[in-house]
Amino acid sequence: MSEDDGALLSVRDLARSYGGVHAVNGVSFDIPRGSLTGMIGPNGAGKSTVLGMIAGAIRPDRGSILLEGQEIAGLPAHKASRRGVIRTFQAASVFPRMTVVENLLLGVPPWDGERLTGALVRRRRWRGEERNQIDRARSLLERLGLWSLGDAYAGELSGGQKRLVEIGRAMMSRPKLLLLDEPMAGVSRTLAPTIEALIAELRDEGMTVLLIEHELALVERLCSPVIVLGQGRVLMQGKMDEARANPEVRRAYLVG
Amino acid sequence: MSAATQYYIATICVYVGVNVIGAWGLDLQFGVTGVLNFAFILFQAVGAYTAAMLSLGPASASGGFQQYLFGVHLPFPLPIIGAMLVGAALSAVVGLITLRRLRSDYQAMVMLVVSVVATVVAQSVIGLVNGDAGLSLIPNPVMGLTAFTRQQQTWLFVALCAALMVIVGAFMYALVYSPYGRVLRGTRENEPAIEAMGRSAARARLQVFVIGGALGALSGALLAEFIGAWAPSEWLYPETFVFFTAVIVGGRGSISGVALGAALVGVGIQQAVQYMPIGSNPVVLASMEWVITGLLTMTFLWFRPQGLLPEQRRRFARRREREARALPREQAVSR
Repeated sequence: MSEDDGALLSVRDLARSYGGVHAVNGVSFDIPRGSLTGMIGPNGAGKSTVLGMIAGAIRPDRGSILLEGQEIAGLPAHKASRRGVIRTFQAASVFPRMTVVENLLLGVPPWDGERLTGALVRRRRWRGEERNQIDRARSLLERLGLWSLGDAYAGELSGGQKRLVEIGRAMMSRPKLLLLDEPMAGVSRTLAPTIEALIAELRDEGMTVLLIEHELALVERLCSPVIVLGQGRVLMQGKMDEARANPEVRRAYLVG
Repeated sequence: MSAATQYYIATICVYVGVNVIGAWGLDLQFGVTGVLNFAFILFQAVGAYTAAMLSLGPASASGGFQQYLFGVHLPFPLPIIGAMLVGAALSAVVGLITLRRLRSDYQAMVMLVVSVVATVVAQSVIGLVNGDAGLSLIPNPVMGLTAFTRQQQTWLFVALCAALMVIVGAFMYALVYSPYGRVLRGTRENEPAIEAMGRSAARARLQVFVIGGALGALSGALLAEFIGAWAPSEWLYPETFVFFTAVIVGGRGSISGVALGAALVGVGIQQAVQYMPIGSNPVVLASMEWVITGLLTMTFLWFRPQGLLPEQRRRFARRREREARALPREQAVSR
């Protein structure tokens, strides 16, 4: 167990290097349960690598990642996801030639109807469950303002709409920990406020979120606490105004 | 109708059935799930050889004029079932080695190499499947039915192929139009995303590799039993691309489209070439088939990548009350 009872996720001494370059070099931090934690830092600070390691997409060289006291470091992505760690990608990552509703249906955690045997026998059993999932997906689309696009191919949407679908897909899974990798990347100005409001709503509903961003303004409006990364290390962890005052952080941003 | 015409039509029917079953196997792998199996023809070949060896009996029984690894004489439908099992087993072995660690473009290259190596092995290790000469006198299950005439027997085999095609078609629809099929398409569309949503892409790929391999073997078994012979020249690696062309022309991921593509490409081109004013030199005719196949693939990839009958968009019925509530808003969006 982590020392802090309020921590959903405890990262300790996490490291990963690529060909001698220490992308992440001994990073430790906690994500309090129910918080919207921001992770900031200049380009190349190691933010995305940290997120990738938590999500299982990147194997850490060393270190530990405890989710509710359970080690998840080194699990492959699909297993980390099954533990409740759901991520979005820097470039909004949808299933292009599948409808928006289908995209959301793939957000539901793996279930019995998806088994190979389920496709062939006892089809009635999953039909009802699937209908419930479709209803959930449609009401979520209503909330996201995408109701009329349910049958559109996700690949036909704008960047911001794709981002909404991606976050919606993550919401369908009811994650324990949501990892947002630069959610404003590729989003037009018209949709940016919608996405920001959605993230604020998720925070207010008590979802635990780690948001990665290199723009300080968004993190300042949404997140508390914040973790500042620079050159693969945690420079500081705390409130945003403390971060702004921190000389090391200033230097990192000026240098980076 | 003359006996020759009847046999001609029956042959075309069998070839269509065999090609459609095989193309569905590849469609499940490549069209639905995105696995580039450039060794597909190998699994058809394995099915053909297995069915042959499970129905020929011991090599010594026929005077030892052909050599093969082992032989038993099993009654219908065991050779066909055995062929599918061996096809699935070999797929599992090849799939476990190639599909887990490698990126998909490298997987494709490895598959191509596997196909070429397998041909060389089959050609040079005579004791395996009789080398270049191949296996012949493969019994056809309908030949034992002495109550029927030769012509009726041929049509019985056509019926067998048709029945199997219907069963495999129903199986394809059940698989692809299900939540399981959705995971397969998700694997094709975006591997990192499907993994991030808790599904193992490697597992999905391996499963369709095995199922598709079994379907390829089934088509090979039927083909070998119909022709009565099977040799390496039937399954050189370019033959795989006939199946790829069928899937691309018909429509990747579209079950009806791929059936159409398999009939057009697998059988139609060969027939069409016979009626072209380019003489009757068999070498020229065969080359012409390859030229047309290649041009078709390129034309479709450029101008109609979705194929003749594209994969259907999956629409789910809405709950009536919600539909009523949303109607005004929907009208506002679509003028």
